[in-house]
Amino acid sequence: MNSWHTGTWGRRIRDPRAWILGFVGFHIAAIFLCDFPGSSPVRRVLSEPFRPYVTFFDLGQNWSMFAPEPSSLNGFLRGEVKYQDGSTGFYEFPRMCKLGLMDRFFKERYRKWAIDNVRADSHRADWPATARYVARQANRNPAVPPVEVSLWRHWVMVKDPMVEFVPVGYRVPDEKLETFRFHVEKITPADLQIGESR
Amino acid sequence: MSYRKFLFKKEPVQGIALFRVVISALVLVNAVMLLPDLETFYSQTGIVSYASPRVFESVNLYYFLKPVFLSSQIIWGFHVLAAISLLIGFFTRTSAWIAFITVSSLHQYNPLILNSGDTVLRLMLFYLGFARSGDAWSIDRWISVRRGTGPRVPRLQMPWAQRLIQLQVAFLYFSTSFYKLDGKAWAYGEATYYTSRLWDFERFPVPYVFDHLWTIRLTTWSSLFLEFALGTLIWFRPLRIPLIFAGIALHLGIDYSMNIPLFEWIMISLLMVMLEPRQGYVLAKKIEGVFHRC
Repeated sequence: MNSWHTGTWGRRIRDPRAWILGFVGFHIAAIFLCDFPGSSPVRRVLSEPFRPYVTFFDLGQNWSMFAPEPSSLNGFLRGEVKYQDGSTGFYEFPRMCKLGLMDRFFKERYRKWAIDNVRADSHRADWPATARYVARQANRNPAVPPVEVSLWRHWVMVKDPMVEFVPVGYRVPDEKLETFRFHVEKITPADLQIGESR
Repeated sequence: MSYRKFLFKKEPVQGIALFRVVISALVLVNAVMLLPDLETFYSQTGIVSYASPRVFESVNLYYFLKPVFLSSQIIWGFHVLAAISLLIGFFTRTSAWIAFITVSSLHQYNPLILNSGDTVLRLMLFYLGFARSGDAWSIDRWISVRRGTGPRVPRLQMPWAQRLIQLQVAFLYFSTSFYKLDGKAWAYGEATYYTSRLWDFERFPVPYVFDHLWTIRLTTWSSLFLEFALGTLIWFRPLRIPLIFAGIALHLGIDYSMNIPLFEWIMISLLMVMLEPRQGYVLAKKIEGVFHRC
């Protein structure tokens, strides 16, 4: 038997394995209590001491890929830009289904940003920055700058296959999608500045 | 197996070294893929507005730097250098920590573009900061052998950091299957009907499978069961290798049919680390043999 089995507490504490074991136990408890699905009052209380550790190392993640329900939403975002002279234009956020294979691979983060995040009401705080970004993208003629940006959602839900079984690759035309204007932002000249001076 | 044996019985390091090479290559590819859109994602004129954090709650270099594009470029540059350094095993653990700190900072600047793959890579860098993954297949080892301070054959080491990764991976699979049990689409066997009808995720065509209810149910329930098994039954040795192969097949299938850039490859590399260290050693030796033959 080695010192681990036979040692006194003093000797055990000097053994690095005791510290490693303590860290492993602490880490597993932190991950389990903070990241496991669902929440109960008991777990909330138990997880409190571990929160600073999980937050500090950014270890939190709920692992809810396509869960509890897979997404059933097809859609896209569009920015409507009003210019100083009264004219309007549109900015279409990158749409994966309109890109080629390689572009789709490299631009997937735009889908994540627009469809999974900005589109949702829970991301209301991100709408002004998104509108300002759209304004900068649409600011092609400095003599006629954008003065207002509206953000629009366009979407259709995939229906229950027991109600309507559509074939793979079936598309609903854009003009038949549900539409909703979810944010309007006034644009100032400072919003249009490019560079780090803002 | 007792927990002492599980964490502390000395094992070969070649398996975790191989994992380090694969994960750091994926970290590098992930970082390089950001380059064309770096300014859009990480500058004040990009898609998010970000102010330096006032309270230092998380590992975040923007606490010390202005949240301007130049800072992002510097952080990204260090991240890429650290990923390369980790890949070749030069100052291996330090490189893992630098890669972890830099990527955590970028993730906190713009969380709106992150997918689960990003989180997995960040966590793996955290774990590699503890692992003895530079004891084989690395510049660190080459230097120590040349200087005469390292053994000709890598020493066996305690695999506790690899065990932490294994526990994390099993937890990941178990919790995702647990989440899904709450969903009607998974319970009724219709989940893959929905995922195969999402226009933005389409990749290569899959004839027949997603056009019939019985195959849709089969793919839904089998992937749910497999995820549950990868989180639980994988600890039973006789089932481990078959489950790893089944997991690889699942992830390759998803990667073929759905546009989820690196996620499936990251998950396949995680399955590799689920091998026992001795099995990892055998795999690493086989790969070494292929390189020698080349």
